[in-house]
Amino acid sequence: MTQIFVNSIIYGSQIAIIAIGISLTYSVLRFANFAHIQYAVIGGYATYVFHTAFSVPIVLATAMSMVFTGAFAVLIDRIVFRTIRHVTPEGKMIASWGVALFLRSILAAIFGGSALFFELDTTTIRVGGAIFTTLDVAVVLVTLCAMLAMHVLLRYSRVGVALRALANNFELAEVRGIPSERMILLLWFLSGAYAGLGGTLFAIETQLKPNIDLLILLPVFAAITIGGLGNVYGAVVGAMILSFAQNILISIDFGSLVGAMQWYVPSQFRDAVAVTALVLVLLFRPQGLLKGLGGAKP
Amino acid sequence: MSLLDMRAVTAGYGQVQILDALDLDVGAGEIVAILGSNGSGKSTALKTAIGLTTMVSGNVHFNDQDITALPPNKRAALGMAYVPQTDNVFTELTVDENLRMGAYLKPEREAAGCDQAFTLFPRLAQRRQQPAMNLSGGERRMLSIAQALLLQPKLLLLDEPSADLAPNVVDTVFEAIEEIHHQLGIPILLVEQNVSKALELAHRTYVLVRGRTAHECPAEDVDVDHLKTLFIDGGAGAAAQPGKAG
Repeated sequence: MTQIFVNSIIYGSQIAIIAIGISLTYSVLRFANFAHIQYAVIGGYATYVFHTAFSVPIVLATAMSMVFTGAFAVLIDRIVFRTIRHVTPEGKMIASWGVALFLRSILAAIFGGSALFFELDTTTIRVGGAIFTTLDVAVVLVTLCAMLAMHVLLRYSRVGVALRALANNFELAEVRGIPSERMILLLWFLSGAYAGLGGTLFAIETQLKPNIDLLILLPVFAAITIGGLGNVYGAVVGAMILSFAQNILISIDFGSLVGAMQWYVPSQFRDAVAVTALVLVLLFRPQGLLKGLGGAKP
Repeated sequence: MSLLDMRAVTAGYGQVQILDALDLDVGAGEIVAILGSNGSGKSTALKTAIGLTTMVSGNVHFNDQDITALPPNKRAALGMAYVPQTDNVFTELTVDENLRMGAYLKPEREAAGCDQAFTLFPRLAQRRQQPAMNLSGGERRMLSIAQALLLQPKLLLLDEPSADLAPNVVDTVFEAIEEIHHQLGIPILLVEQNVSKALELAHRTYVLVRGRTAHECPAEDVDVDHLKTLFIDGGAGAAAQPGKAG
């Protein structure tokens, strides 16, 4: 039981950090950026390159990767999204698919299709029947700090409140003198940096391949849909709900429940949980559980 | 030279043109009211002044500076404060945060500006930590005006301050507008459906018909019968072209 809890928290953390970035940009620009998943993969590779090729310590390499991915997201905005600022959200979403496919093939061309691994020293910890590693602890702690930092930024800082103002009422924010274009740059930088962090945490725990985007895409979009698109708290709540649902489902011995031999739902069905959750939310609460960029408290 | 000067302004939203070669100006110390029927382009005139519409031709000067091509946030920085009729506050932000955003360009004025806002509208002081979505329509309008004042504007643009408010709340809002004008000396350009209230307050009025100035005169010379003819004429024009918003 504790193991399910531990696994859910770890997986939920990785998904949440990536989902936060999509919600951030969605809240102001009103489109779901599919290329965000690629930003996460790029962040993973950037950390790998800094850490392996330049022997930068992993924490510093991750920080450098966040800055790099943030700047990269800003660059893509300048090249692609700024030029289509007044296109419909659907149009932007399709453009973001195009960006995603382009980045995906560039990554594959540079790094090849084989898996890369971070070789980090880690110790196994056992607490009350649950097994996890010091790396898991680090991942969860970093995630918590990143969430707290985002919360403090959005609630208390002048630019954070201004971002929420833009998300809430774009025209009024402009009329009050908030420089929307500069704020959008900040938004992309933050979003990209969180993607870079999330991608790194994901890759550290598993592996790095150009096609890990397929493992990230579905749970991240399910999480933001469950939580409410455009709400950063919703992204976290959605990621946790999804992660717990997936881990609980594959841990229940359904065979014994009906008095037969042991039978578990195969772990490949995790994605089916995400799809089911997505469909249920879209059917019964299409706006998600929470609305607005940090408008409603979790 | 007038403070705000709009010359031969043709503007609208996307492909839809609402203003048709409109001339309008506001001088220092003036309260100017724009009157007209629904769809005559009153609100569009204000939105064009602050830069929220698409301008086709003409130009807008503020304080002798050509602002025709400036985005709204730059116009705010020059001292123009606009209070929309609807969606006039950040509903998901608290009252305090709303005022903080009013002072976005003047962070050093935040504390003093908030005190001024609460003196002008004491009702807001009790609701500082509440999200603006919990406020009534009247309170929202007060908050929006207070927010606009934090910019220390040189010109206040008010879009139908009395719309959808109970009569006693209308009085509160208009008293505040008068106080703002008398104590702070801020010139005001006002769009108003409530003709008698507008005439009480304004020095000069424009009557708009189908996006053009049909009549311009000092407020005391307004002939209400003539106004009615213009309104009916304008109303017919608007009815013939549905889809034009006021």
